[in-house]
Amino acid sequence: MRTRRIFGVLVAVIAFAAATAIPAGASQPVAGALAFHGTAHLNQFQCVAGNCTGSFNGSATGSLAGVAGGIPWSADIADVGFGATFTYNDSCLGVGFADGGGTIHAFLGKTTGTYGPVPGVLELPAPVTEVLIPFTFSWDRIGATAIIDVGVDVSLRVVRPGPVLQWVDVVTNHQVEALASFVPLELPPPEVCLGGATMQLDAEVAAAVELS
Amino acid sequence: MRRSRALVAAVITAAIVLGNGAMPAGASQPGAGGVEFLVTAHLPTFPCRPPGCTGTFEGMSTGTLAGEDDSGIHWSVAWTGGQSQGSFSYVDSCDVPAGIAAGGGNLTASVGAVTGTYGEPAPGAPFPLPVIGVNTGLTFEWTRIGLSAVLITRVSVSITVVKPEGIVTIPVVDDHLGAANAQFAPTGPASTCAAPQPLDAVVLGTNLITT
Repeated sequence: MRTRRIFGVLVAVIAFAAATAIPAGASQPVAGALAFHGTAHLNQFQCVAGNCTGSFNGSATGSLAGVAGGIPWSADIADVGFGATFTYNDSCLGVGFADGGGTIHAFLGKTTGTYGPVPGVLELPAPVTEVLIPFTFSWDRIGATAIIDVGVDVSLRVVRPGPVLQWVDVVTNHQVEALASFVPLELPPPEVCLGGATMQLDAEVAAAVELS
Repeated sequence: MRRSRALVAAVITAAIVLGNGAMPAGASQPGAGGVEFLVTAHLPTFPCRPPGCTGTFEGMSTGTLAGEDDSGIHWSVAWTGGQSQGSFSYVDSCDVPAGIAAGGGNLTASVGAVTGTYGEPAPGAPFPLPVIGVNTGLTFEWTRIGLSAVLITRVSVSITVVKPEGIVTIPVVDDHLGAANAQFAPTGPASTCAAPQPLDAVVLGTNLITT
């Protein structure tokens, strides 16, 4: 009986693995949106020579869904903390550029979602227990508004027969364009903008990234 | 063949009400829902005179249950295509078409056959934890008259939950005492006490649980 059970689990795992394999280059339909809100910290402002470093920390909320390897999936995340770093150049002229990246990692309690059904393996969808969203961005700011090019990967940690937990990549290098707002928490004083001094600058940043 | 089909159809369409008069025993976690099972009972000899025989059953189950555990945490689970299996001892009368049985078994469902949640939204954790398995253990005493049976059941339910520390099993219903009815549909040839034979029978029921 035990051997049969182990064999059954093994067959289910192999079938699950085969069903969830995503062919290289296959299109992965995805839809949904992620809302970012946080504080960008610029270690030096102004930074006209470029290659200054900053950080962006905050929270993200969103809802994503798609089909990967023919298997439907969905994931909601709520108020998930994230961290990102970037290099930039920025000035009092109201124009700034930045490139960076970070990761959103939603754990149990911060995410819910489903993966499946998987024909022949899972009649009902398996639950999503974690979501990992690495992202990169390229930021062009004019005034309080920035146009950002965002690259997103999405991986889901799902429960497979066993039960065991398995990471599944459902979105790879999905590129989208979005808008963000940039509101400094304090305005640079004249000695910074006119006198050549520098300061650390914090700014409130919000962005809505729609994936489609 | 025609009689057999008619019999099975009659069983499947029969109204089966279980759980009337259900009362909690042991722990009193609040809970409610229903479990449906469709199993095939294998009787090596039918009818079986005293001192009795031992049979087995296996089949499928579906169910929907919800309640609170001992910690007051809300849970819910629904499954389809679950498995049912168990064994029982039984004895039949040769004077009247009646028999009694007692046994036990499990109704189980796991990943891919289960959905459910454990816990409630809380500050910092707005989503409940996922339920990935359910195990309903039961014992029963069965009294059959003709093709109908009355059952006394004791049911315990545990659910398998993914928690931050790992996959854990949580008991949510403990030794729930209930009364039930079921239908018994022989699928094999008619047999008599003079010429008993092995028999397979379809048993269909719905167990309503309210604690």
